[in-house]
Amino acid sequence: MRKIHVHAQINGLPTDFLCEPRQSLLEVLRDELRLTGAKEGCNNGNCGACNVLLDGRLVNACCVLAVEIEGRTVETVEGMATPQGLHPLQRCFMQDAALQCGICTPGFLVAAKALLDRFPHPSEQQVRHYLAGNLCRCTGYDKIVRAVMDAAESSS
Amino acid sequence: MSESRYKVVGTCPIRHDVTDKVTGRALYGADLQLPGTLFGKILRSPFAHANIKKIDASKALAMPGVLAVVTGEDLPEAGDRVAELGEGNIILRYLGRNCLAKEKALYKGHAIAAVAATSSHVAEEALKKIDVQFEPLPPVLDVREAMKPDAPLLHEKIITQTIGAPPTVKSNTARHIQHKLGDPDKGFAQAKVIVEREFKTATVHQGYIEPQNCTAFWNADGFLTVWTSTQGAFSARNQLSELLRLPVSRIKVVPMEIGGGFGGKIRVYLEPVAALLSKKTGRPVKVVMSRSEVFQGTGPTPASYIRVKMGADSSGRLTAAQAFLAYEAGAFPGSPVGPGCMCVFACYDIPNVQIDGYDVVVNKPATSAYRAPGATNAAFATETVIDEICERLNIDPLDFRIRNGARQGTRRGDGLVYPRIGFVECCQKAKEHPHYSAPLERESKQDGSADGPLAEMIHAKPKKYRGRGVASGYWLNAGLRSSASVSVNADGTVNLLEGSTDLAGTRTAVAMQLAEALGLKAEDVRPMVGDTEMIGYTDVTGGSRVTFATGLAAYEAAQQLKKQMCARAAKIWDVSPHDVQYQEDGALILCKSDPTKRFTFKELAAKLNATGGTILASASVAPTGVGPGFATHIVDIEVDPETGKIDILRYTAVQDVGKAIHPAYCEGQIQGGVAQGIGWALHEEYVYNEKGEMLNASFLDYRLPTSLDLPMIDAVLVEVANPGHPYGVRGVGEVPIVPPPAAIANALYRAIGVRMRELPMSPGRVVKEWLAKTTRE
Repeated sequence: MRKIHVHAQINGLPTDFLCEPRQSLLEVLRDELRLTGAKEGCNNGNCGACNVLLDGRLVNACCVLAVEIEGRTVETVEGMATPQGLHPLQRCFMQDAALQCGICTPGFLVAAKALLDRFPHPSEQQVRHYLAGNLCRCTGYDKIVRAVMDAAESSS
Repeated sequence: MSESRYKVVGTCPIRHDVTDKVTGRALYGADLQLPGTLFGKILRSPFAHANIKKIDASKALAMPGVLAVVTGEDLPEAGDRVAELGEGNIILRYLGRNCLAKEKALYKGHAIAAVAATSSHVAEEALKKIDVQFEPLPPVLDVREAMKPDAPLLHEKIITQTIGAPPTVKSNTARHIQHKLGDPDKGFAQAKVIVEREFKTATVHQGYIEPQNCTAFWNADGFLTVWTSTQGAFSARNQLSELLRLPVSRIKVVPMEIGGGFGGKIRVYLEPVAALLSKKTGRPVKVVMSRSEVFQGTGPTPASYIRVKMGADSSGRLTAAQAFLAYEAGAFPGSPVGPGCMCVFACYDIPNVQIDGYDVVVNKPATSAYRAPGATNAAFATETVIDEICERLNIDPLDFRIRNGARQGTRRGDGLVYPRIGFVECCQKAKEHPHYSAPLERESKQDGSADGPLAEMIHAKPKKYRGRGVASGYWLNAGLRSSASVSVNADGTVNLLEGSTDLAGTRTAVAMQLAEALGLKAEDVRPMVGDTEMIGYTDVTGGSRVTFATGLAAYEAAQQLKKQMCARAAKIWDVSPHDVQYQEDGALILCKSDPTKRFTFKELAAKLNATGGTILASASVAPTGVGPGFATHIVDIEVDPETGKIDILRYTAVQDVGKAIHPAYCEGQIQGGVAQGIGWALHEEYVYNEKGEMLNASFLDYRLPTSLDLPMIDAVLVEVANPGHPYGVRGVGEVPIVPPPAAIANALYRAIGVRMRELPMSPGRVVKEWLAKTTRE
């Protein structure tokens, strides 16, 4: 199958890649660009482990075709920390024991960032509502919700 | 809660591995991509039961980019020996047949053949070109149907293993277990109240978010390396060795970071297949399952049919109990009915007991371990029967449990006598908890204060009812074997290498015990999980055993390390080693006869290289002092009888953890177990049609609880020290999944007077029972 040239901004850097039209953004991020922070849990948009921000909007990378990101911006979990340090959400997930196996964590962090970008001071119910597209099988969500609330608190 | 005896144990340091997990850098199996990797895909049976007449892969092999195809014929015959997996054993021949079918496909999703190609898309296209001639057979999909003498047989070789003379006819019942204590007939004759009920539970999946994956490379020198997502690298190596007829010394298993397991990542599925594909192509082969393959091609935990009869006298003492447990093994024998039989009455001191368990094959995926395997099914039955007895005798359910609860010295129905346990303490703690005495309005307040037409609509809304329930649970916990080795760095820190794959932070729980034993800080230890060539044999991460057993290995290694540090100080000071002692408080090495001679751990560490080289210590343990785990849960629910939807309003889980090494992660284990138990109770279920096809093999249709479905979960840690461990540790991870279904069923009864005896208590089933009840009235 012939490959198509795509140009996009990924984590702030201009990025070029070749992909087949049938390849998802998730596949290209992981296999071609080797940004393996986004995980594949279901490949049909039900688990949120592959959450990334596309032009600032929360999407499941498994449900976006790689060719669709031409000229657009993508932020992945790899773009959350800066050389100055971790994002408050990352720090709070660590401090609050908000992960066990960690496979869903990148998706939760990106989704939580999208939430805090829009609602810097969410209620518990808002957090639960916003994160309902992300499945975690280890924690029962208790400590994840607390970590997001703590991150909101700490960045205010 | 925690005494101040310890400096590290009982604190909550940041996990050593966690930075990589919040930045996306941690490498899980599917993240690995070796140079020259090929991609494998598995062809799976579309039929639940069929003879395989012929497999023709010539068209697939002719496709550009396809390099190899393997089938069951490529796997050597494995024989009748049993693979000891730590949690859930299986006969090797069956394990091999499950990885690649031969002669027969025994469930929809059963692996038939596999392809290696230059891309996963090409491999997927090639699967369609493999021509398999099936001869479909009638499937058997229900445990009681399968036990009938005229049921279609799955296997030619199975004759029921039982006590006494074996039967002569072939059967789907692979094994009958029986435990007897006292005289049940006599016990029931003494009872004032006898309750006997039937229960059904559905097939449910562990639901780990990371699908099974592996990369295998069979090198030209005959050495095989496998990178995989497994709960036990050594167990995976043993299974590969047996299935591929390769000595263990020729196989290296590298455990990658693992994205959840819960018992489901002990048996191998992809590893032998990827190895065969690599052998044929001479290149690394990577295989990753899709979610629907995970549901249909790996081992969920069994559906079951259970009958429980219990009797109590007028003083509220249990006099007798009887259980019949039939568990679906799936396609091959090996359901967790054995532990189910051990757990069914394990919370109680009952003088007269009979337990019969049956392991039955059906045309569904071969079942596997899932968090306290077998226990949740059994507890759903026992704990709801107990609730009925309490109601009939008008006794508070926690008082009843305190009165009848198992204690040190209690003999369980299967013969085991308990060491020091904390069941009664859990019930007392639950009773004292504010949740238990908090007022619970039976009906919910109408929401909103709108007026006009909206108010009418709101007020016309049917009432929702609330109820509170309690239930208890038990899990055996395991010891098995663990190894740890430690080396001292010149800056006074230590490296810890251990063999237990880390599913949830155990690296840190083990490192903390090492730090405590040496008097160091948790962050002075750098823990690492070793592969099968780096560290000594270590059993699976299962049976809630890692913090207990691998922690003990680290503790033992610390004792040796301290001796060696003392010996080195003696050499430097030129005194007798007996004149030197190690003081954990402050991590000091002291000369007994001369108080001016002393080293801090850090000072001595800096001198090691110049005085004979660094110090290493290692330990391998097989501990017997396993501490059984108990829990009692309280739940408040709200149910809308019109829709049947149950909401969890409040949840409190009280558990004896022995000693919480890292309390936050103990809470996390409990909260996660409760969440899984709630999913099992309310909506998780494999839905089958009559052909044996699973109809909901996705996360959309097989619903795991989401953050919206759950409240905060209050985990209350009770610490009744396990005398079999230096810090008193008991396993924590598995018990919390056991009580939730029964606790919710008991709460539902309190809310609307309906007793649910089938899992899941999905909205449709609740409405049906509610309608039946209101029609009766």
